[in-house]
Amino acid sequence: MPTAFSRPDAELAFTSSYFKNQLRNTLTFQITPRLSGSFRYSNLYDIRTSPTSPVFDFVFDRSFSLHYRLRDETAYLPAVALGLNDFVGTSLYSSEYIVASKTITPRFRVTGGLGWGRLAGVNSFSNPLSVFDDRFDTRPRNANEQGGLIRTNNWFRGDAAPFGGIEWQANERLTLTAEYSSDAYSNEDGNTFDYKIPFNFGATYRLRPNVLLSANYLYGSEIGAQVTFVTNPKNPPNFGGLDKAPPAVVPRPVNSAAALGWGDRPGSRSKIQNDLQTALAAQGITLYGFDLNTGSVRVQIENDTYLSTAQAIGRTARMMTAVMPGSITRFTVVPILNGVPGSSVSLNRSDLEQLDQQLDNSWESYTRAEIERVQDAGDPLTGLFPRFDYGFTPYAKPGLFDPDAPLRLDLGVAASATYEPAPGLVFSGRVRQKIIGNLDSATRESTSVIQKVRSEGYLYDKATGPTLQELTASYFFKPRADIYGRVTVGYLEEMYGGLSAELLWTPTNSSVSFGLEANYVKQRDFDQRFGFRDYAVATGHASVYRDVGNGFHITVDAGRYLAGDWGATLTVDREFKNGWKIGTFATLTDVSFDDFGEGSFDKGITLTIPINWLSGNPRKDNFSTTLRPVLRDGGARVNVPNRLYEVVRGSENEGLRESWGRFWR
Amino acid sequence: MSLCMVLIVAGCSRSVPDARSGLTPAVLAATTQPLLLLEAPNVNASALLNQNARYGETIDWRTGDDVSITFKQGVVVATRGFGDDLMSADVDQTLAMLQNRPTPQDYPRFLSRLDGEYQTEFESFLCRRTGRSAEAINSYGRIRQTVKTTELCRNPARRFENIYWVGTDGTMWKSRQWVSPNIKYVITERLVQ
Repeated sequence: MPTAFSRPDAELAFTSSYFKNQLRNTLTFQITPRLSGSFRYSNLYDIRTSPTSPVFDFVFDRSFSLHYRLRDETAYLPAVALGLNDFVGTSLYSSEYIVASKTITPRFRVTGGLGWGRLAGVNSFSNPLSVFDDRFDTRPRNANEQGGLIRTNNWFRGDAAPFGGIEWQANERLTLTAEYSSDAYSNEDGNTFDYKIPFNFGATYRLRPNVLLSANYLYGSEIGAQVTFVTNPKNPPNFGGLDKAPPAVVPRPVNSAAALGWGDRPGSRSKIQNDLQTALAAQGITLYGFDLNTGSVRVQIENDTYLSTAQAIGRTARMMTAVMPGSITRFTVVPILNGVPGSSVSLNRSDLEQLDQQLDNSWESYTRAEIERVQDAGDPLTGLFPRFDYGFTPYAKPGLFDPDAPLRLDLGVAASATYEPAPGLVFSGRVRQKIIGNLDSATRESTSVIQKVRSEGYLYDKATGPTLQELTASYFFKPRADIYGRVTVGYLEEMYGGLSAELLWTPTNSSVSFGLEANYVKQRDFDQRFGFRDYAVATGHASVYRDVGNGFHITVDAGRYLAGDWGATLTVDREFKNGWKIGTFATLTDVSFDDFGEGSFDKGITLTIPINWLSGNPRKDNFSTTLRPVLRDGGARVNVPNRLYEVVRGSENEGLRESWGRFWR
Repeated sequence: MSLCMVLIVAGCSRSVPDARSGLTPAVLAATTQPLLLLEAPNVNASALLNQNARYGETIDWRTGDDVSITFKQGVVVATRGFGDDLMSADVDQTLAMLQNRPTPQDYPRFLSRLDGEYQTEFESFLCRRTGRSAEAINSYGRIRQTVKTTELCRNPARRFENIYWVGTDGTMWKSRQWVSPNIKYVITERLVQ
């Protein structure tokens, strides 16, 4: 039974519930304080897809739902919400509701609502909305067989039925509920389970602040169990992070020999440079360039450690107060990424000394900093190039939603290496070896009627030996202070290799960026060694990235996709300034819904979690995943490593501002 | 599955050995460097800290692994490495109160932290002195003559009561001070001046 209350803003909840022949896994995100969205994956056994259909051994169903709180609870009036269930899938759970909830005493809540569709199964009556229009009397069947389409023509139509319930918070951990459900389970009654009465009773126990366990007595016949895990991107488990204290700001002694300047002693320049290099290395920062002038110094750094560029700049500036002679009064720090500079940050040394212990030092230091776009990275220190790096990491690759096995998993180890002969030129390779897993047990052949650009992915998972995940040469450059460029050639991803070129224009003081990407790629052999299959395609996109405020980002990519289809992708992300990102995307191309097949068009959910949010220790890497209800061939894009927008944002003006709170961290 | 991993990690806790074990009058007598004992009971942490840097009346103390706490004349103005750190503070009125300089009966205290998205957030309190008396404290066999002062700070969301034991020369020999909602109180004891 839905209630009118919302979860706390940004909360992400995963619920797994089971009762007789029905397992439901639901991921719910509170998208805004009022709007939440859920993706549900249900494994249903011995079930009919309509009251008149035959009984299927199983149906694995994916569905989306939305809940919008129309009005808040007041002293006398209840909170009111509207909901849409299963409005894009094959509509097994298609229903709509309007619901009101009121807190009577702090421990006691009452909910009542009106449901349509599946929620109008018990004691229904003719639709009250018919007073507006007779068409509300009947509910059309969802005619789309492939699912995936948003059908608004049956919303709030057909009969309606009331539902309701009460909730009593027995103590801090235990909540008891009783509900009258208007869902008659007419697809399930008799085959899936025996439906007897429309009443349910439940007890929910808060095991930990973020873990809830429930037991339910359902429909007069069944016992069900449920577990919910809750997290909120806005509540990092380690708060601001367990980063070690930065080195202290070292003020210049009063009346020192500062006026003497640094150049008086032979060799002092290289000593200063070495001291700074050593000190920065201890902070996980590489000194890339060093230019000491009369009264000022400009250093280029590579931030190898901190997700927040401002934090790396803050630590660099602190080290400079310890190392630089007193005559140097102005520090400029330029972050360098792949041989290409971000914005430079110039600070007065006296501001660092003065603000270090001041209450409002964060904002004051930001407003006093001079931030400028930079085109030229400057000369790297001698000895920095060429350089070589390598590492080993474990990997896990899940395979979801195959009707034959809803969850498959491969575990293995990946070896990666990079070689940089000169600034901006990066050779990079990654090889994987599976150790254990069952992804190779997938046998469901692609039914695609268009070019099979992604739907034969399961054949790539059958490779036995080591697989080459990436082997590329990339060149990064900056033709102008506000334009970034990239050219990549080689084995780009597990299924495609070829050439990729990209330009990104990030106008200063603008919330919009523009990108152009052109690729010519060839499909790789299933064994993921060096060979290619016959299919080759020119693909590419023009992209607009827009920060629309309140943490929301919209991206539109329009162009040609892997199967040669033309179209556009709309992506909406909620981005958190700590690096979390939860988003959704949909792609429409000139591939027809019928040709696309199940799902009608490509869509999905993306989730990015910064590892430092989890561990508390400073790290730059992310855990990132894309959940697609079904992966087919229309609207597919090649995965190019190091697409520019995500790479460069953090070290430009807006990214610096958003992460400036960590300047003094 | 990944989400479960998130939640398990989120629930992890760490434990820190007790810094008091091994402290004896003899050990302290042999110590020539300034030494501070810090305990944060709410996060199960205790440590011995050395002076790392000093600017005017502000002293930065650190553990060997760079967890730091910064005091202005013995009053906490910043922490680093704890997690829910105090980023900065304005405690000038508290200092005036401790030194018996004139203050309003209810005087302000300001502090800043990072919120969950790592943005600076400020919090202000109104504080007042709630007690002041002479008290001798025993620190590993050495008797310190101090003035014990209690200070109550409040805002609509929370309240805390700090306790300061200040010697006649102004040394903060011992204190219990509130740092942040998660760390709550830290207890400091100056072992070697």
